[in-house]
Amino acid sequence: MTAIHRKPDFGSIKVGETLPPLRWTAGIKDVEAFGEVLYSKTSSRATNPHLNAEYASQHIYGGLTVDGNQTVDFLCRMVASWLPRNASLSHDSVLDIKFPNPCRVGDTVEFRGTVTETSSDDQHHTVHVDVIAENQSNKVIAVGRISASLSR
Amino acid sequence: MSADTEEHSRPVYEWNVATVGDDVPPHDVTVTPDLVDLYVRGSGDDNPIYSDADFARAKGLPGRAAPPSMAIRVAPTRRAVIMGRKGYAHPVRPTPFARWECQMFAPIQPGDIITSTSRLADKFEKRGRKFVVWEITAHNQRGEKVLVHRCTNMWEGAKAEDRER
Repeated sequence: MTAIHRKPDFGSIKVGETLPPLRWTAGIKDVEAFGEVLYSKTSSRATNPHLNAEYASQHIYGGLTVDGNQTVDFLCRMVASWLPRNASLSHDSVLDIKFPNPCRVGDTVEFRGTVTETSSDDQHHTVHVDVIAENQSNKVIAVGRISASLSR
Repeated sequence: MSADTEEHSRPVYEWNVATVGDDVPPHDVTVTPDLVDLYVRGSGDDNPIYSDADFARAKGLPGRAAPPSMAIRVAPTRRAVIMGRKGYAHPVRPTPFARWECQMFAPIQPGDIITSTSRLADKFEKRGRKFVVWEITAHNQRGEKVLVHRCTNMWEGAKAEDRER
């Protein structure tokens, strides 16, 4: 993962500005570690297309894929680690992400973002970031928008 | 009859039987500090807002928070339960995640008890594929709405070319 230089404050964020990209190679160990977080102890590994290679090979994508929640996690990380320290995705935030293609285990993914809008009200500033994740074949595996709030 | 046998004897909850409004009673999940710590270790996300209460308070939060991507764990779709209540079994095939929409209203914190409701909010067809949309609404133990998220899954319509996508 590449290091991110955080913006100092809301005023320094400009529409059209691009975020430093993140890159990640989807290793099975990372996928399994995230699965420990995401799936309850009672969920079945036998029918999990992210963890069970044999099951995954018999179904739609023909192989292991990364859970969309893990892709979202990287997009959130890219945005949250770039925004000023008074920003948060944990409250007063909106995420809308589509997954047009699978992210396969072994893919190298680049996560990118562009600031498309900023706004303010009495309590918060809001930064809207269009986000995208593409694999090494330039296939879009996730695309959407993350809107984060900054306390004033 | 064992639960497993019973599950296999049920018809499958295919798209044509999915009915908007299918739901489950509220469900509680306790957000333990261990669960958030597990996230921090498992994801590799070193944002101190998730691990350092003093840092989180300095950002205006009441304490350390859970990340948005934990929404699915603390407020799960519980779709298999929805299907079971209706007398159906979950399909034994992947149902790819097509879209995730999440609105976070208030931070989720270690120690919170998150009560969520889940319902089938929509179903639609697009380009020969069939989709379902689950909507989950979650409140904390103080009755504050903490989040609403919508998970769209492709339910039917896998194509041969999907193996090359």
